[in-house]
Amino acid sequence: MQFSERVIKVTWLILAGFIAKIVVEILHEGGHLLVAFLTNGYVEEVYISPLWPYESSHVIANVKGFYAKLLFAVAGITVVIFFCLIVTFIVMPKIRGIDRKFLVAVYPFLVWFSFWSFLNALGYMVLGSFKPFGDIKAITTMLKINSIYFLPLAIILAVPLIVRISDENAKMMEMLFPSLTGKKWVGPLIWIFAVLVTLLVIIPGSSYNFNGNFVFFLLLLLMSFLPFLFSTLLYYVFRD
Amino acid sequence: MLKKQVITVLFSAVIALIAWILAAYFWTLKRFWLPEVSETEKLFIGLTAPINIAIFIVFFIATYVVIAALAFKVKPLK
Repeated sequence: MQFSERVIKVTWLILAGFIAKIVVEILHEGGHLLVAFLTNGYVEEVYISPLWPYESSHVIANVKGFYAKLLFAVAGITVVIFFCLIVTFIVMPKIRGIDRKFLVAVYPFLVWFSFWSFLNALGYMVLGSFKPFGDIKAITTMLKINSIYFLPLAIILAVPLIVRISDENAKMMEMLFPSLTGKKWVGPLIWIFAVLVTLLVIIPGSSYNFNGNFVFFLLLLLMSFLPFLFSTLLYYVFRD
Repeated sequence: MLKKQVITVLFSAVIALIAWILAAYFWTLKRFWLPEVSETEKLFIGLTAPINIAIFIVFFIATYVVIAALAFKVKPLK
């Protein structure tokens, strides 16, 4: 592979990651907006943050009625999970047969999309289960339930998604860079970004206000390593 | 084989660490009535409590055994 070709591929890989991140944010807020429109709510403000997850995006809408408010709160995470499952389990396994040039353009975006939607929905649930905020706070307040119930739900959803996203990441990287074919460390590599993203969320000044709580800092940092370790376990121990 | 063991130990250790901190914070720490002690000091007291150290050990061994049984196809002795 020529040097210029490699540079183009790496640039697209980085760019696709950023575009996918914004698309996932738009989807999340789009879910809220859709419910607001369907329930005749009055939308006051829509903000998509290019710096998410450091700075949160939001939709402020005046939605009336218990069920409308509940649907409005649930919509963001639900829409993102729905699209994540469709892309990960239906779109990506079927797309590999298409024209290679088109695949080179689309595949990195889809892998990043599944990764960011995973973090957007399940990361939100994990963070919110320890310290409710945003949608999780709204849902738990309305249903009068403990936010910790979101933790097992997130774990159950996370396990199959980690397996699939790791596999798709390995296949996508092998397609872009054939020299990586058969390398076991490629699949789990994407989950290192989960640690970096968590660091972004927990540093002082972010939208997720920790108030310098050392315990949550430690807990979330440790938990952010789990997808990477689980994926590594899968590749090096279970499938060996 | 060594690589497998190292990854299994690492994974088990992180699971056990999370359980250890959760136990120290949500269980032991909430029982403390030490208003003059900071959150970090409380966590340290919680983590060093024997029951919480036991939780770490139990979780570590349990995770390791489950992974070993599933991945290394350990068969029970007859």
